[in-house]
Amino acid sequence: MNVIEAHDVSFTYPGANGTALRNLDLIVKAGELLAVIGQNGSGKSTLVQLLSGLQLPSTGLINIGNTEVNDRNLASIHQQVGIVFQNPGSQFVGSTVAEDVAFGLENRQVPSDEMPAIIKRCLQVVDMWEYRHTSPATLSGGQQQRVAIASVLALQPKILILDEATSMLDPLARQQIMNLLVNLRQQGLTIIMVTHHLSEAEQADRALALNNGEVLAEGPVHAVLSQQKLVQQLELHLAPGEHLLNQLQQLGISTPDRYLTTEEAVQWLKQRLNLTQ
Amino acid sequence: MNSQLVFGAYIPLASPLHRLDARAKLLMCVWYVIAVFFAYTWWTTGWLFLALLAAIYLSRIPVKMYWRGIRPFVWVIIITAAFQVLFSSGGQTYWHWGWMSITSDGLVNSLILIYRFIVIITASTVLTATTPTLQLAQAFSSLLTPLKYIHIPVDKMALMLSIALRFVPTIMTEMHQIIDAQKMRGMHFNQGGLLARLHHVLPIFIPLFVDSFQHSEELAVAMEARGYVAGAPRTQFRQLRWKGHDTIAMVLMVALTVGLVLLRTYLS
Ligand SMILES: Nc1ncnc2c1ncn2[C@@H]1O[C@H](COP(=O)(O)OP(=O)(O)OP(=O)(O)O)[C@@H](O)[C@H]1O
Ligand SMILES: [Mg+2]
Repeated sequence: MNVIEAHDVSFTYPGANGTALRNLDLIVKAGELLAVIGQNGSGKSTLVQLLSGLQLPSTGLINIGNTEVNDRNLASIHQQVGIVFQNPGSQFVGSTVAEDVAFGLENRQVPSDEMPAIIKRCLQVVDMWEYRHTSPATLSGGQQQRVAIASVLALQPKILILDEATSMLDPLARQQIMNLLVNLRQQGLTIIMVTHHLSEAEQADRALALNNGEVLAEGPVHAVLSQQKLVQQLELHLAPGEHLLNQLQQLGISTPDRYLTTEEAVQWLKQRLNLTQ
Repeated sequence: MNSQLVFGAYIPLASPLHRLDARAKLLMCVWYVIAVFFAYTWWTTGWLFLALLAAIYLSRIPVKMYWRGIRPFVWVIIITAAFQVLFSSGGQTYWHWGWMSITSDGLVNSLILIYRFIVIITASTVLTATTPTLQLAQAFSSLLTPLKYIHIPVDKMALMLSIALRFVPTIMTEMHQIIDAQKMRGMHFNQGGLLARLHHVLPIFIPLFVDSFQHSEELAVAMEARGYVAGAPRTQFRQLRWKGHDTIAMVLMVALTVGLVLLRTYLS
């Protein structure tokens, strides 16, 4: 089942010279994890805004589930799509972490006595329960991003969109969030993740590469990521495995043609070492 | 700057005052401030001061925190009191020069003024230090509910108030970052005359304004994405609960007022 269908979508910011997004076609299936990659200014955040109904396409059509994104259906779109923004500092409403998670629940008119349990569960998922009485303003960037994720999870969206939502996390925390996302996907959540890190993108099912507002490549993640030129062009942070294989290649050692995740690269290397021993 | 030092910050503790309903505390504070304006004899001012000491004690917050609440206002208080002394007349005159004079009435009035300043600031610090800002905003909107019937958007105003309060520490942090950044670029804030200093303030406030606008825009988008629709019905996470001790507190306020009236009438 397709949860997102975008047909020939273009978008120009009011008053801007260039189009931020041109002729985009995109289909996302239920339960899929889609990585969106691309350089600064390539249109990733713009795409995110369009998919969550925060901006309406200048031309073209977007469907979320069976709902067309237009100004009459915004409430239903916001109910289905949860979004974690790039800048965690300015998305907090509550004066404590718990109150911030509660904000969306209050808007949904969740009964007051059901809120504490939901808040507890979501804060535990992102490992921020002990900070529930803290002011979000005094948290570190990474902690703020976790709270922002919890606040969105509390609303139980069908589609979760993260716009570089792990950019401020340390590598361990980033992997924890990645694991969380992979888990959530297994429970049937559809996830779209904007990232500059190949180590994150490689854990997705499919990848969408944007360049200058246009789709550069789209398809199964390993097919997209194995296009070396593309990866170099996008100036992504290489995953450690990919980095290692690239270095080996430059030394004249032949490496597999297809994209290997870090884990696969380790397996491959292990085999090579065993063979040459 | 530590956000704890900001005037009006909440200090989380488990005191009897912390446990009171925010509406009760808000009412008590307003009530007390009104009462302060009816006290100008030794007995009545002393009586109200005693009540304030009791509140400070019951808040379990160290007195030095209250001092921190008053400190930013010290100069305002001193200057206003000085004006009061120099420019009011009546009673015995001790000294005078042109328009200015020091009279017994002037001294008494300025003492009362200092007393009111300190007592009112401290009373509101008791309120804000023992009540989370969001609850305070909720108490406002709850007490002002009747205004809804004349189409004043009380809920929206309360949300606005609580968001504004929640942004104070963020803006403080940002201001310090901007000042630091300007210092790094060779700006010296404590040099030069008034005009030079004014000149220094602009490079701080312009980025601060730009940042605040950006914040508010991003926040508006984030609120919308989380299903906020202005004016739509919402539920409340923190519910205000009026309990027995809140009623007792109100009774104590009545007693305080009766005491005030008696002292005013019979001991002046
Ligand atoms: N509010 C706006 N008004 C006008 N133009 C904008 C606005 N926001 C973005 N743009 C422009 O649209 C283009 C795409 O921006 P977008 O924010 O989608 O990039 P991005 O891929 O998310 O970049 P980054 O990796 O830096 O987050 C850029 O050229 C940008 O300058
Ligand atoms: Mg972006």
